[in-house]
Amino acid sequence: MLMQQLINGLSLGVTYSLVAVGYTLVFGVLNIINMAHGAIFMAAAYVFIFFLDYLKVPFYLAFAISIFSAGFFGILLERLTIRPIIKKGALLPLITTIGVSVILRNTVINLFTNLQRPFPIKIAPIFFELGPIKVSNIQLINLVVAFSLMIFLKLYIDKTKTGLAIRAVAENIDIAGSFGINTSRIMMLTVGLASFMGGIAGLLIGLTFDAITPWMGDTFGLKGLIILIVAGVSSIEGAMVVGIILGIVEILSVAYISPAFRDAIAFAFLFSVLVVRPSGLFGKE
Amino acid sequence: MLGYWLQIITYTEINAILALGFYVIFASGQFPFCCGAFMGIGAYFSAIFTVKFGSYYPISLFAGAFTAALVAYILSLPLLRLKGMFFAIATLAFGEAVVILFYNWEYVGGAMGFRGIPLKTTTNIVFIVLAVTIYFFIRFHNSPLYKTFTAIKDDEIAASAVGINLFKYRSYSFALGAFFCGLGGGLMAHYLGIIEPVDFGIVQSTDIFLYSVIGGTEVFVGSIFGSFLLTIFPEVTRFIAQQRFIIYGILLVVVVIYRPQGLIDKSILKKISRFFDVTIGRWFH
Repeated sequence: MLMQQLINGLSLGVTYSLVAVGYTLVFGVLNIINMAHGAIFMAAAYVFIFFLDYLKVPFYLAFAISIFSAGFFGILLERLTIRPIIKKGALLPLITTIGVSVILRNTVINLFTNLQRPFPIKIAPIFFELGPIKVSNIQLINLVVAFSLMIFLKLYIDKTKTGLAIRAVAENIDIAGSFGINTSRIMMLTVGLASFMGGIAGLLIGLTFDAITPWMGDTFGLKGLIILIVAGVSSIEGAMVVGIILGIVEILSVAYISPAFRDAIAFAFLFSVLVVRPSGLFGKE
Repeated sequence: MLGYWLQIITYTEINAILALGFYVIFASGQFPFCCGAFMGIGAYFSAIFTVKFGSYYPISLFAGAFTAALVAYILSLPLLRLKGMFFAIATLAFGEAVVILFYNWEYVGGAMGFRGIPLKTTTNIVFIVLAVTIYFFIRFHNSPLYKTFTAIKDDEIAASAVGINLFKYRSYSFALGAFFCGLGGGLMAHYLGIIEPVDFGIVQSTDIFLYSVIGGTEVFVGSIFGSFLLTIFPEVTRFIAQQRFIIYGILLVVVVIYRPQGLIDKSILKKISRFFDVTIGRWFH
């Protein structure tokens, strides 16, 4: 039974990790918190619904359009609302990205109403039995997609030239610029990449919970932010690990304490870590 | 018709008090995202005092505001260790946690909300409270406390170098701001007669900081102006009710990029004061 809960928690947590990694990436390179991250993947999920349900586009195409539109929104976000004020300190982009999330959320509410919609693709749950544990096909999709994405990201950042440029800008933007790296393009690429991954995460979330609402960006975005703080902002691996921990803690608390406080567990998690170690679990003091 | 406008004015005045609560905290350099939750604490606790303990209305108001301030003070112990951006997110998490706690607290109605609060707030009472608050802020702006807050906001390293105890003053500003938000909450609770947990979440916190950030964060008049502008504007343009949030979002982004200090700043006040009379102008900055 405990093993079952751990697997459930792992599958949930890995989705949270995917969201959190988007924040970590942007924070590492631009030193800002992108409060519009959640809103972007929420909007991308609605793009998916729009193309699939309204325009009757085949699933694969709608999926591709949706995740690339997430990346596109990210690029727009960076160009229009972050680039002009990035030099003026970290607080202003926080506020502008909040503004963008307000705009996106309310645009979606205007166009699609604020009612919750079911995820338009129905996958009949099939359970695979591994001994005493049952894993559903949806959980497997989560695990496979999220892990491969994060591995892909790690490899991209560690092994490619662009990845090296990203790491350089994250380390010190001025020196990176003096080496001839086009820092503004790297910043744009980073936000686009983070939003792109967020878009995939959003669709996974929609699939897992069979729900798309204008608030899903906020709910899951907030958990991603909590993971960011608890993990200590500096490492992508840290975000991955903490995301999984949060998923497991959440599932265990639902199973063994009470389902009512499910969303509050993340906050309890945050506060207990903050009191003990304010720079985060993996952060530098 | 008159009743309708009285209602608008009452909401505006309560929003002004809330915005001033945010302003006080922001004046010491921290960006709180939980003013909605402080408003909620003030609302719920003042309602508890009136309904469950049968106390006299001004006492309940005070009790609610004071509880909010107390919570803020306790919260400042772990939270103020965090730097600006992370403090903002931790307060966001706290705000959502408070909403969830209210949802699950049957004593005050849980998800159904707290009903049957006696309608003790009248437009006159709110006007008086606002007037007293404004008087407080005029005195505050000319006080050493305000100078200390400004010093911390401008350069905390320099401030601590001259011996200012950062934590002490920040926690004061946090508690003070929470007091005003709680006061606004108490007034609102006794105006509406019914309060629900969902009224005090992210949306409310965002609204509150919108009034202040758009109106102007350099001087307290900005928060009052912002709340007047943003509360009255949707009323005179009723037909775009839902779009108004999109407009707020756009306004926020535009203001932060092109005029980060908000609409009303010190130089505008100087122009206004020269327009009126030097003596009156001196009160407002």
